[in-house]
Amino acid sequence: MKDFQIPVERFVLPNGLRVVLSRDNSVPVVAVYLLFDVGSRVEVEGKTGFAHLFEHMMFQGSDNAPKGMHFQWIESNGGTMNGSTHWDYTDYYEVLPSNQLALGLWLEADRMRGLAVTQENLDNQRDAVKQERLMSFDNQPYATALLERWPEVAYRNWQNSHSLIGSFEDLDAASVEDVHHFFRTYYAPNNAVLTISGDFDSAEARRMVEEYFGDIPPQPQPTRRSLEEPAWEEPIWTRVEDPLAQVPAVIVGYPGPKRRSDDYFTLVLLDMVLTAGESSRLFQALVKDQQSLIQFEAALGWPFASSIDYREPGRYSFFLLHNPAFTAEQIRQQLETELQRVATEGVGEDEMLRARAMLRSSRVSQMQSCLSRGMTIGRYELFDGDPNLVNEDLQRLLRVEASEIQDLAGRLFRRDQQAVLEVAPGAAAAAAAMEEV
Amino acid sequence: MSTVNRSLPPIAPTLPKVRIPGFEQHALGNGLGVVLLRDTRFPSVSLRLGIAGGNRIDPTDATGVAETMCSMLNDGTQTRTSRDISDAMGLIGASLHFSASDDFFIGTGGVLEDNLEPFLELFSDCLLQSIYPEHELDLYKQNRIQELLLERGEPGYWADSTLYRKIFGSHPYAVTSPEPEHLEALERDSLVTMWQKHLGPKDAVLVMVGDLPPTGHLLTLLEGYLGQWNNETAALVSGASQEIVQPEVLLVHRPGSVQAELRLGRPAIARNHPDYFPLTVLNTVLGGGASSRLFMEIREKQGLAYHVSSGVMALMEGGLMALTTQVSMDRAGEAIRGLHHEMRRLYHEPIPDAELQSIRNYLSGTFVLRLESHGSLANQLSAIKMLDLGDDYLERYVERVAAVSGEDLRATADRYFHPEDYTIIAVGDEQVLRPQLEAFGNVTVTTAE
Repeated sequence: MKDFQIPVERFVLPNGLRVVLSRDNSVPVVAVYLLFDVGSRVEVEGKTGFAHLFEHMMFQGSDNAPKGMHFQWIESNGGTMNGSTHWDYTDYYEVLPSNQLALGLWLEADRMRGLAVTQENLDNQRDAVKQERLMSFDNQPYATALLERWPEVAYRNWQNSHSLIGSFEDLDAASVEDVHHFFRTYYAPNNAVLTISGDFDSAEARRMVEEYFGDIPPQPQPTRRSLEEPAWEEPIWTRVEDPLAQVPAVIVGYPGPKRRSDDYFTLVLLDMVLTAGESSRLFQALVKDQQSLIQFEAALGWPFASSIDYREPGRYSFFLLHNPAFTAEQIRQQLETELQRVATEGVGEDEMLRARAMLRSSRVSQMQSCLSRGMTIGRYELFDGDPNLVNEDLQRLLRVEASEIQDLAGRLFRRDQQAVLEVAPGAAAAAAAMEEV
Repeated sequence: MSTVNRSLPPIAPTLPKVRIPGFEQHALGNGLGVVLLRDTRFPSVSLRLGIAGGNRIDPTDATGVAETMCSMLNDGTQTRTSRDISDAMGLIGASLHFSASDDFFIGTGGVLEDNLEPFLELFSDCLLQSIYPEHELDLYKQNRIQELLLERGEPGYWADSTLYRKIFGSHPYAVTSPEPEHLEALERDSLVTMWQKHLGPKDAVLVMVGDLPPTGHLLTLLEGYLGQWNNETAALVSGASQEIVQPEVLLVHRPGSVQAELRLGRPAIARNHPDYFPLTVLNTVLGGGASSRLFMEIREKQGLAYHVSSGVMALMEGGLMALTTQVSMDRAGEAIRGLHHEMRRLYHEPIPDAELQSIRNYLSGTFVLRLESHGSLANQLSAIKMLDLGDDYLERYVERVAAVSGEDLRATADRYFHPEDYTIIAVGDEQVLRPQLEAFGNVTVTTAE
């Protein structure tokens, strides 16, 4: 393969803002991407869903950009934007024609400097978030089971097991003062990473960043609650009925390794052997041969993260939609058989070749838009403090050997570490019980 | 540090003129059109094959033949089992997927440039030598039927399928996904027959974008791999025309629903209709993005919904205009009145110049964003050729958007945005919804099952 490197330049402002530039002048498009080191896992009891509600408030106006104008200025200048809340970070982006870079930076700096929070805006965003919850969770098959029941089954520490979208009750309790407090605590330049990727001039971009962000004051580092999980001693199995689901599903998870440890890199390859594409083991053994699975997916940190934005603790989990002719326990056993086969028989050289080939090509196809390049380097900077890992980690992954995969499978897929959630299509009568949330 | 005024948004320099990448056009001996766009920014190639046909050629009593015929193209050939094909694709890190849209059969794929030749060999094998093994068909049917059940768990399925049936009537566009009973009854022969009669090189274009070998060499390769493709296809006969639609109020009772899923829809235009650009601009004003009127009113001011948008779907033989939102069950009536109000404003009041200019900028700017990746460029070139949009479409897009005048918009709005022409569809709890919907007409109730 021809050499393919993502260019990276990094600097830190005196106020602690970490900035990463990745320049490619071939198409007149630029992405501004800002990450804050705060996600739903920092929330406290009685305030579930707050990180996400706060993300909505970031679009409700700042000192010099009145409500609605953020959307208006970006779109009327030919750009797109969005924000999203994750387990361990919250991110915001603008993709713009490249002559509008200053606009994107100005808007992000304006809201990092100060939000214009009013009771009225909080109320209408609270209502919008409730509708988001109803639409994306409560009115969809599987969503409540995956996003709310599964964390309760898979984790013991409340920081990891509570709801990301939050309960209606907690959303109702959120006050304007809470919004201000959260902003002051977490939305400081020394708790953020800014990336600029695409068509720009480096010196000019740096000058603009200094001009717009340079005098935003840093804040003391917030104290964070421990995310640590107690040791897991025996397998757990929970069953829920989902009145909106028509096809049964099983989720199986095992405790994941530390981010960027040797096991982490090995797991990325192990996951590819098991689940990537139609030549993968689960597809061939369970979809094709046993005809027991209909669809499946797996990820480290699933369903909230994947290997690129995973931070421990988290599980490597499989979501398996299965043929109703099989019981959930049969599906669990079939999966376990496939996982044990890796541990006992190892992985063939042809499987290694395929995994490496797919890694290389997915890297090239995923790095074609400036936004995806900006997101990837931004996450490396946030989690690891080194955006160059975007280039180095691929080489490291390509060096993982078959024997390491076999060894990891033996250590990782232990029955006593297993968490299982069975999602059974339920009667409509069960709806009332699910609505109490 | 400079004394810049940070209370006002910065003034942008003008955008250097966007360079629209040039493409080459060729044809193989069998008539297959070939479009090549050389772009060496990334060491990869994206490919997109389009063939006139798609789900619209399914007989109404045998839905699902077209999609199955496409999906199974990589499930076994004269010389390879489905497993051989997946293993070979994996080994070169390639992707290849065949599907049927409303109007086209589509093949999409990608590979690193150093594996282009083995990829073309596999692509050719799947396209030309598929044998549709019986045991693969059985598995496909079994899993696809479960997927269709999965889809029926979603409220959006009930809203969209009801809307399409209402708007498109007896036209094949009315079918949003195959009937499970049809799939159950589907036999291998009908796949082979459709493959022979409809999957040919005549009304087909292959687009390749990326780090391509020299043209002469590439054309020789393509002639070698695809030159013997010679299924004789008859020209497509346009299906039933879109009928006159009498607006209705349709309630789909979905037990367990905790939110009302709403659609407002009416027939609109085919892709080649002269109203396409004014309607696109109006749709963007109404519900195209986060600064659209629906988003600002229904979500940001009233907090009624998380998601609210409008969309134009313009296909080869017809189309529809639809508004989509999800709201609390007890506020469905209020939401519909809000949507109606914004629709009326489009033809009652002129669109202010500043707003119109914003929308033009938005459409032109986001258009540039689509020139970034090989895959996105391939999609656009394929659409230009398959929909016959004209080779200068990319170059003229911005100018066409700019040419839409306020007067065009007023007249177009008057044709397409009268609320009384729209069918209302609500999916949710019958007891709560019915009294709210009665204000808009006689309510017809069905059940989601």
